Amino acid sequence: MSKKILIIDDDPDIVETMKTILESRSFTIETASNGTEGLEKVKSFNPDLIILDVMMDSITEGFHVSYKLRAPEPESEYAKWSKVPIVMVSAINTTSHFKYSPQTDSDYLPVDEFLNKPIEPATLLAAVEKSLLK
Amino acid sequence: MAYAPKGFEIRIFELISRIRWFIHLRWAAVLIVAAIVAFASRILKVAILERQLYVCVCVMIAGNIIFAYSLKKLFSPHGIENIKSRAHTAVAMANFQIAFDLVLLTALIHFAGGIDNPFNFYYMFHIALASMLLNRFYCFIQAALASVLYSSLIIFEYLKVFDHHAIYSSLPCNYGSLKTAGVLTAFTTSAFIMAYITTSVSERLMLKENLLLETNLKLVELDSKKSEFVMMVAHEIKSPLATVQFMLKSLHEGYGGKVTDEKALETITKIENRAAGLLKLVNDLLDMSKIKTGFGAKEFKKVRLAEILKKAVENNKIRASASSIEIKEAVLGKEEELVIDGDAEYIENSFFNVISNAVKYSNKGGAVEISLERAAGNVIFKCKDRGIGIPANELSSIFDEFHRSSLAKKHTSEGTGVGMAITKRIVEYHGATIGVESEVDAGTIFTITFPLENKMNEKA
Repeated sequence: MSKKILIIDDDPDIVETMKTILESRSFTIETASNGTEGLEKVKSFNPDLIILDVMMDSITEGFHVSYKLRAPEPESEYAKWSKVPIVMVSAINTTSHFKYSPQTDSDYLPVDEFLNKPIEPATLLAAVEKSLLK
Repeated sequence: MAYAPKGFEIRIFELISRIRWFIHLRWAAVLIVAAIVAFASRILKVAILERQLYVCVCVMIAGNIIFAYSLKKLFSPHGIENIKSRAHTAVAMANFQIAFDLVLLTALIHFAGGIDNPFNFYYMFHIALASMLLNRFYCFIQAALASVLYSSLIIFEYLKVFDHHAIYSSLPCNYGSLKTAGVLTAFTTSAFIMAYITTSVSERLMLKENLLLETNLKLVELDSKKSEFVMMVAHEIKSPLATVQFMLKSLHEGYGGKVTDEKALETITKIENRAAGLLKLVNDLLDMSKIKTGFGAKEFKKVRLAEILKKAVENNKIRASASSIEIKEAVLGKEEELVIDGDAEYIENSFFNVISNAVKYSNKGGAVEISLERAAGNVIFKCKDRGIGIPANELSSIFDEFHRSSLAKKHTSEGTGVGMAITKRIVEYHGATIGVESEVDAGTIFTITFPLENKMNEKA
C-alpha cells in the first residue's frame, strides 16, 4: 500500500508542485491550506508523513501545528499521531537557523527535517524518504 | 525641556561617569594638598598647623574610598535598577561630595591661616565642578554653601570664636572690619558670578547636546524602522520567488511533464539563474536588515576561528575550481589559541563573503591565499588575491551598501554590492576591525583583526 502524505501549506502553487513530484513516486497525497484544516485532515486522512509550512495565516502557525502533534496534552485527540514524521518547509531565512529534533523540549522544534525554501525536488524527495524510513 | 527616556538614560550614565572622574580628580587633589602642606611647612617654614592639616588629608582619603566604593556598589549592574532612583542617587551623591569637599577645604584653610591663606581661590574650582555635575539650582546652592562656609570661618575668626592661626608673623593677625568685609564681599560675589557664568555655559552646551542626542536617536530609530520595512518586503518577495524557483526546477526536471525542446530547456535554465540571482539579492537584503535591527540578539560563545575558516573555504571551493582558482589556506599556530567570543554563523558569513569576493574578482587560473594567525592579543584573518584590484579612489566606499566598484561591474554582472557592507557590520559587531589594501591589476588584501579580549559583548 502506498504511503500517505499530508501537505500543509498556504501556497497553492507549492502544494500542487509538491503533489506532482511526490505522486511521481506513487505517494498518496492530501492537502490543507492552513493549520486548522491541516489538523482536521490529520484525523480524517491519517497520514504516514506530514509536510508542514511555517508561515501561513500567522507567522508561526506551522510551529503551533507541530507542537500540537508532537507534544500533545495527555488525553489529546492528536496523541495517536505524535510519532508521525514531520518535514518542515519554510522561507524563514537560513541565518535564523532553527534547531530541530524529533524529541520535544522547550528548546527544540519537534520536527524530523527542516528544509529552507527555495527547495529542490531532489531535496524534498530525499527528506521525505529519509523520514519515512525511520 | 522633556527628555526622551533614552536620552535621559544617557544623561544619567554620563553623570555617573563624571562622578567617577570627580573621584579620580580627588585622588589628585589629595596628593596636591599633601605636597603643598609639606612644602609650605618644611621648606618655606610657614607656620601652618601641619598635623591638623594631615588629619584633613586623611579624612579626604577616607571619604574618597567610601565614595568610590559606594559608586561602584550602587551603580553596578546589580545595583539600583529603577532609572529614576538612579538619577536621584547620582545627583544626591554629586551634591554630597561637593559639600564634603567644601567643608574640608574650609577646614584646611582654617588650619593654614584663615584669611591669610591665599588658597581661598580654590573654592571657585568646586563651583566650576558643581556646574558640570549639577543643574543651575544645585550649583547656586553649592555657591551659597561655599560663601557661608568661608564667611563663617572668617567672621568667627574675626570675632575670636575660633582661634586665628596667623601664618605671616610680620602681618597683624586681625585685618580690621573693613578689610574683612571687603574680602567676604569679593568672595561671595565671585562665587555667585562664577556659578552664574559656568552654569550658563554648561546649560547652553547641554541644550545643544540634547538636541544632538534627540536627533541621533530619531535617526537610529528611523534607520531601524527602514530596516524592518525592508525585512518585511523582502520576506514578501522571497516566498513567491522561492515558489517560482521550485516550480521551475520541477519543470526542468520533468516532474510536470517532459520538456524536450533544447531551446525551451535553455530558456528555463536562464529563468532559473535569474530567479536565483534575485533570491540572492533578497537574502542579502534580509541579512542586512537583520543585522541592522540588532542581529536578532545573538548570544556570544567561544568559537574556533580555524574551524569556521575551513567551512568558509570549503563553501567557496566549487566556485573557485570552476574558474581554476586555487585557494591556499594557512592556519598558523595552535587552533585552540585562535578562539574568540562570537557568533560562529555570522563570522562564517563574513569569512565567506571576503573569500568569495577574492574568488569572484580573481582572473582565471589565479590563486587566493588565506591565513589565520595570532598576533599581539589579536587573531588576524587575511585574504589575499591577485585579481582585478580596487581603484584607490573607490577604496573608501567598498563597505557602503549597494556599492560595486567600476572594475567589479566590468568584471562580472553578478553581485549585489551588499556582501561587504554585511561583512563590515558583522566584524564591528564582534568588536573587530576590517581593513583593505589594493592595487589595480595586482590584487587585494582584506584583513580582519579580532581582539582576543572582546569588550563589545559586555557592554551590550
